[in-house]
Amino acid sequence: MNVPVLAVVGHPNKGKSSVVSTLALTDAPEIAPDSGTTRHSTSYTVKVDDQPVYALVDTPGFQRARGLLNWIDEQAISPADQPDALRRFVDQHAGEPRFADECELLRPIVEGAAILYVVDGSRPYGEEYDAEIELLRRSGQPIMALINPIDDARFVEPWREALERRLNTAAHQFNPMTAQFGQCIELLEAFGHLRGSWREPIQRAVVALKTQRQQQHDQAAHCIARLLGHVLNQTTTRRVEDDQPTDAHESELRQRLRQELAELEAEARREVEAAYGHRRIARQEAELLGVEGDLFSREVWLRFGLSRRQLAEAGAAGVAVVGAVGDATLGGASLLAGALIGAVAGGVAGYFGAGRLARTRVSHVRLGETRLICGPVRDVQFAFVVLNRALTHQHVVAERRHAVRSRLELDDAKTTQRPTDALDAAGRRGLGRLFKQITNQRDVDRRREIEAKIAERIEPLVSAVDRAVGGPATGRGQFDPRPDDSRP
Amino acid sequence: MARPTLGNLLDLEALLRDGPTEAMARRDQQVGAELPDLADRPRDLALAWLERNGNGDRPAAGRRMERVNRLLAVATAIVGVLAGLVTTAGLFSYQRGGRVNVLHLLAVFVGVQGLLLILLVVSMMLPAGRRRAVFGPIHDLLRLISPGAVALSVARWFGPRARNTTQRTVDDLSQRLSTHARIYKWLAMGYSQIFALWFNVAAILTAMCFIVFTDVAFGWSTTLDVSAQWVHQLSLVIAWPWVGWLDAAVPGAELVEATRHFRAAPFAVDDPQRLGGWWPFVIMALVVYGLLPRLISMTMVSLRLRRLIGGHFDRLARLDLAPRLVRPAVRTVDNGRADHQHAAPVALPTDLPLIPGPTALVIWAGACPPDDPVILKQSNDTASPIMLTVEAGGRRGIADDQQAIDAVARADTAQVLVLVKAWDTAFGDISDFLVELRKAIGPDTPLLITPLGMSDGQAPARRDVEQWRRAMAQLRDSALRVRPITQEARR
Repeated sequence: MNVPVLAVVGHPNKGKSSVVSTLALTDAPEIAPDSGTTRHSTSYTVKVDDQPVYALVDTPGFQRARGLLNWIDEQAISPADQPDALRRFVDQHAGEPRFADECELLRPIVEGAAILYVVDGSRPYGEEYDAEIELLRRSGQPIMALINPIDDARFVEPWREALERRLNTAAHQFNPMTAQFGQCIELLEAFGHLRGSWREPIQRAVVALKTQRQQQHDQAAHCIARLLGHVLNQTTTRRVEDDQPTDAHESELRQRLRQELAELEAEARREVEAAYGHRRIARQEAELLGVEGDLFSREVWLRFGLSRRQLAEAGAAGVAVVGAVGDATLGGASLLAGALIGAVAGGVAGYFGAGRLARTRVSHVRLGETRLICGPVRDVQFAFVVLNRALTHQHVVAERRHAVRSRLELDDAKTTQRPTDALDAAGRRGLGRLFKQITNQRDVDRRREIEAKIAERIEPLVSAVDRAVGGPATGRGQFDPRPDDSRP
Repeated sequence: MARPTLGNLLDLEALLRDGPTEAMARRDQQVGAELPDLADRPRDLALAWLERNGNGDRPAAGRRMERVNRLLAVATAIVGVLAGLVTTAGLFSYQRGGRVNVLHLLAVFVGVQGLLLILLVVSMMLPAGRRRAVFGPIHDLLRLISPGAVALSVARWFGPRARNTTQRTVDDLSQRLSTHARIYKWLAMGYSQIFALWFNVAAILTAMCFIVFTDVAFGWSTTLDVSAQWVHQLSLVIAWPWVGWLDAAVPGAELVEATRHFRAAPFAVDDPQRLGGWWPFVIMALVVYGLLPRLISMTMVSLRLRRLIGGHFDRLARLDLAPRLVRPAVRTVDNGRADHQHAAPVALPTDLPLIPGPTALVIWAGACPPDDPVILKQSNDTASPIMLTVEAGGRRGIADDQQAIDAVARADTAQVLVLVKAWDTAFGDISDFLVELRKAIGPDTPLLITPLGMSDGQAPARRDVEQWRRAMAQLRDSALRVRPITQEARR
């Protein structure tokens, strides 16, 4: 057998289908909290450029392992013939309802599949597993054990000792619901060591998945950059007859702009989800523009916007440029005092402006009639709010495994970290500069160039999801998007 | 590396705009597989992809654009030729006194063209912000007489509906043009250089025709009080680029002196041939200040346009197309007959208290040690004391199970309590045991399944208890119940 095939076996309801779903990158396996959901063995083949690279077989759980073991023992078969005995069992009992589950799970094994034995690390090892472990040992196929800490990890170590002792195989701790991309790759690479001939196809799969992952990150970064380009240039207009008052329309315009910005954000989120292969996710989230009648919720701004100090650092960029121009005009005679004064002034302005809500402009342009134009929003803090929300969503989506079937939770109240906290002051300043350049940029070509630069700058924040270790964030540079109460 | 044209750019945009269909995705992968050497060269990859796509499914916007571009270039060149011919012919036509005024030629072919050239260079070199500051008033003026503004002004006379429709059309066109505003700007600038180039070509050729086929009498004349020496100096300044290597085209002081004329005072000509002596200077001025700068500016505009188009094309190729072609197509194929069973929503057995009388206890699969508090408490229960404890399941064999069943049957107790691990979900094994046990103890003896939590005194998880209830309901045993233990009972 050249294509690696692994039969995922174990007790019922220990996460076998979830493991298959996550490692085979498919949401086809039915995952339910009830035991015995899977009734037949189903094979899922992963292909790269139409070439199969590995397959995982989802199987029903052991229901009558002792009965099967009893049958084999009654045959008085020598140890060398044990694998053939399993084949004979399948042949003789195929179609028999009592051993239907055992036949289904043994079929891929007798056909040569390696074994991926899944146990629950939140439940203790006990004698109820002895029969099935013995059966797997007698199959003659290579075995790898996965300890799935479904509820918690308190019995992982006892399981590890028992499995290494009984099966003479290393056991890997792996939660298919929360495993990070890197952990999935590590596990796949471990598959390659089960048989010598499997190393090449597994390596091909790993390279393809890593390449795909990086491209997904790049695509997500560009989606977010495009979103920023759109929201920082979004305007809404209304023509009003010359003799009509404009005040009544301004509120409507602001409401419409708010709606359009929310739609832009929703569209960008769908693009990011599609980039990571999640095309139909039901999500539950607070709207970007929260409080009814208020274009920008103060709560959202306080949560996702920069801190006062950070905003002062980012806000200093633009005014320092003005100061520097003054220095150049004086031929340097000002001894760069212009830039210094500008930086301080900008910093001070940014500091005092940090807590304000966003303002939108309503402009009047005469074209033979009055035309009201609302937007674009010019506040750099708004741009950081949009960016941090988009990055938070992207992290959650990027880490969503195929085994997860629940609604995407984006409860902002549980998210306390800002992704841009991982940037240093220079990084935030650079982004602030780009936001100012792209705001109200009518030249679409130029806007695309700036979007490309923004994407380049935020790409490390996007791919940080793969660099975060399994524990909580330990400081600058590590962003842990999991809600605080779920972090160990 | 091949150079993409504006047509290539438009075609690439059109094909990428809507995203790939299933058929296109497969074709993209095939193209990517056929061109592995181009994986690191997005531009060449995109050009090859365009060639293979052949624009079969999309309108040939690029080809139309290139055709229009060529037509406009040719038309502009023709207009330039005509303008150059007419202008030169007009200037070379004999004026009063029969002289062609050299100062007029210099004003038009050197002065005006030089000024326009300086403006072009300044506009190319200024950054966008400064450019707007310098040329903004001119742009605003031009905007007032732009086709869109004119259309809107006219539409105002036809009512609000016409005005709104026109406004939407103008906004839509502005949006389309702004998508590649810089490219179209440089394209327009290119046309202007084509016009200017052919203008100068036609001017030179027309001037040569006049010089060769007629006898042109040059002179110079001005109302200003300038000396011939000053004009000579001016001509030397203008002739600076070719002084020293083409002195025949540098007018001498005598020529300048001899060719001054006044309208009010016609003069006698001693040497008529000398009146043609300005022609090398005039031709060289046309070449150096007319033709050559336009050749250079047209080259610069072409290069700039090429770089702009190339930059956009490369960006699209690298960010939008290359990932589609070189991204490894990872997909999962479902090979089997997925068949899933969901727990039937059967009526779950309700709890029953222990009935008074001796009780047999079965410890299934090592659910708890024999000295577990549950067992001790039950043993001390005077109403339903435990008379017999057996173990089954787990590491015991089927034969051991049968022995346990026989022992329970012999005990003839009022009820049988079966302690199980709440989290043990292999219901098949215990179901077989309970069926055999039922056969041995009769149909009416209560069988109470008691799921236990983990040994640290936890109550069983509610989810686990519910699973036991649903699984045991499948046995359809009217005297079988699931009786979860409380946390207090295990202390």
